[in-house]
Amino acid sequence: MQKVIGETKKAFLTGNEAIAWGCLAAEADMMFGYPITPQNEIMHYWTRLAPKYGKEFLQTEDEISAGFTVCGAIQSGIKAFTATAGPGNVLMQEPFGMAEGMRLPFFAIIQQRGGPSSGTVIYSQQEVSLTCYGGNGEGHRIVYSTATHQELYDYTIKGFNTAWKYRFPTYLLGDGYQAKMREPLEMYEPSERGIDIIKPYPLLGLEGHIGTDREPQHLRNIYSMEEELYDVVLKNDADYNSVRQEITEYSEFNCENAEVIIISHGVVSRAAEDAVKVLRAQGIKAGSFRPITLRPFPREQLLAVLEKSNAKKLLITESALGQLERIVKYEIYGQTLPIETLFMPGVGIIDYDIIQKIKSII
Amino acid sequence: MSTVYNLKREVEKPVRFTGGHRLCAGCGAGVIVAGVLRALDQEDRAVVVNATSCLEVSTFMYPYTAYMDSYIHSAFENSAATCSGVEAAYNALKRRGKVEGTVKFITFAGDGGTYDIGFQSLSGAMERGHDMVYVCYDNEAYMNTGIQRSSSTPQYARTTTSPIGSAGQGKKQIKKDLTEILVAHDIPYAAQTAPIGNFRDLHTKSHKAIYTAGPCFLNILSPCPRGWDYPMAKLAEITQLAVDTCVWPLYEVEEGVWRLSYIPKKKRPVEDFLRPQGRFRHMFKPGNEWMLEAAQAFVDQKWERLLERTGA
Repeated sequence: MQKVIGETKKAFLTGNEAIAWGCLAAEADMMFGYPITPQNEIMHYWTRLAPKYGKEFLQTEDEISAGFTVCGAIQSGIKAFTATAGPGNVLMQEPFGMAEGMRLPFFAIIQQRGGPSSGTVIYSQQEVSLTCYGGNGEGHRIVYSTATHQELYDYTIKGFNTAWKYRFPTYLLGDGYQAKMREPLEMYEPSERGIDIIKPYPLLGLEGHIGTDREPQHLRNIYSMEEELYDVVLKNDADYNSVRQEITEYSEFNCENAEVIIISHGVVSRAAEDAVKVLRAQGIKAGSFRPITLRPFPREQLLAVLEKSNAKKLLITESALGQLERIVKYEIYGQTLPIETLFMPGVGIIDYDIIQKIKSII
Repeated sequence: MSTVYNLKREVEKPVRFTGGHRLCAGCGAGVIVAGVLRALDQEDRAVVVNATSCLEVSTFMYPYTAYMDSYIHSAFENSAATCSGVEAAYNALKRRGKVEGTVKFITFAGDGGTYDIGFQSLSGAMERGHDMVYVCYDNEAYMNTGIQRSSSTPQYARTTTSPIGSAGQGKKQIKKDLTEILVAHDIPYAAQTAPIGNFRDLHTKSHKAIYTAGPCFLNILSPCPRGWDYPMAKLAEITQLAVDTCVWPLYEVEEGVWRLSYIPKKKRPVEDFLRPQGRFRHMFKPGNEWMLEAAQAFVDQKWERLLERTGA
């Protein structure tokens, strides 16, 4: 295998570029894509980089096709991926749903932009519900919400492995800020960090004759009987729940003895941690909890953090109008802590916003 | 419409597409939209539907609009459907006597929103027979999102997703012939035009498209200084070269009858069109002569076929 990164190195890149490198490091074979801001540069970098490593790119006529070409390539044993945003994420829900139904190892990068509809091309955290639960299914998906360029690189590599290991559609949920801005990060060969890259394997067209040499492969997205579908959905759900704990990730910051805990995800969690530092310096006991996997959500971990803290209040903050809040409230059902919110749909949140909010609620 | 076209008189009419929009200097789209809307009879109103595009983000920066008529921005893939809906509602209101006067329905979309993602919606609208004009301003790539290839991008053109390098020399595939596909819908009127000379061809075809009952389609070549990489002042020159090299023939198909609108006095070599554009620069590198030959052969073959069809 040709080394992509070689010696571990510091880099100063846009998020989209970091992702393109991450895809190469993850030994992705092929990108299928369709233009939409703010993910375009993933395609641009990939088309420039990929041929040097014997990789492929194909641009389709819309996002529906971009998604389904990935589904087709994956079934053929190619480590394929796509990237999209906003209205493109909406159109891709059909292929995502098929991947969910057929348990295809689909990995996609979503760079959130403002919504609904064309919204803005800039930034938001408004694609949480869509990415976690979009489609006419049960949301058997894995969603990593990144906060730094380092994470864009790390979770791109991890995302492919997660998809190919557990066979649930897996997403890296970034945003326009992360996509377009530059930030330092360290790029490395996965093997240097003890990460084994899972090799792709064909799902269809396997060796041997069906009936004599092997059982047929059943990858289905349609059923004739209600009961058939019922059994499959329940089996998928059981599978999902059995691996939930090993997939779930979160981080906490200064939650011990915290009296108010800020819950946020993605880039907003960086503002939350900065706010905690400032508030602590002013004698206000704040802490920050960040789900890294929005789906599956770190329910037990959050409950444990609340348990060990002195939390009297929670503050949920996000660049959306309660998409994270709905998940959190569902997940910690039964908790009686008062919940305050700071929602700025489609708008960036900085530490100052959070500090002011906390001061107004304690 | 007066029988004789007179540019001076046309431009003295009150404008329906104003200046001050934010399209790039040297972009064809503004000239095209102004030209199409000028073909509306003064007393008629219009509904302009616009797919997501450079045109949309530059001419309708809310709360500013360059349009004197009603304007609807739809999303990317659906401008023909949106226009169909408006036209259907207009007919319903008209039947109930709730609207007066003539309203025309005109959709503008780029090649990405027409040849690719909007194709299904366009085909559906044409087949259903709405009384509307669909105008594609064809700048041969996704300029609004950063110059990615589309199915309208000509072969060998450099775009950000068909770059020049060891693995490829620009776009591998040939340009989709959308006008012919629209002709195959057997709609009353389909035409190819470009903003050249005194805009007579653009004006005449626009007027015909707007005032022919039923679905009509205009495909209009729209040079893009950013994507095609030519000096801004060369818009008119580049457009003329596209026509004189027969890269972009001007023709119309009215009720199934093909008619050539313009035969260059001297058909110029395709090189003349390609050379001033950065997106084709690599074709002039030593060793790439075959690309020029292939480009010429492609144009010749299409031109011959068009001559046959039009009986010219």
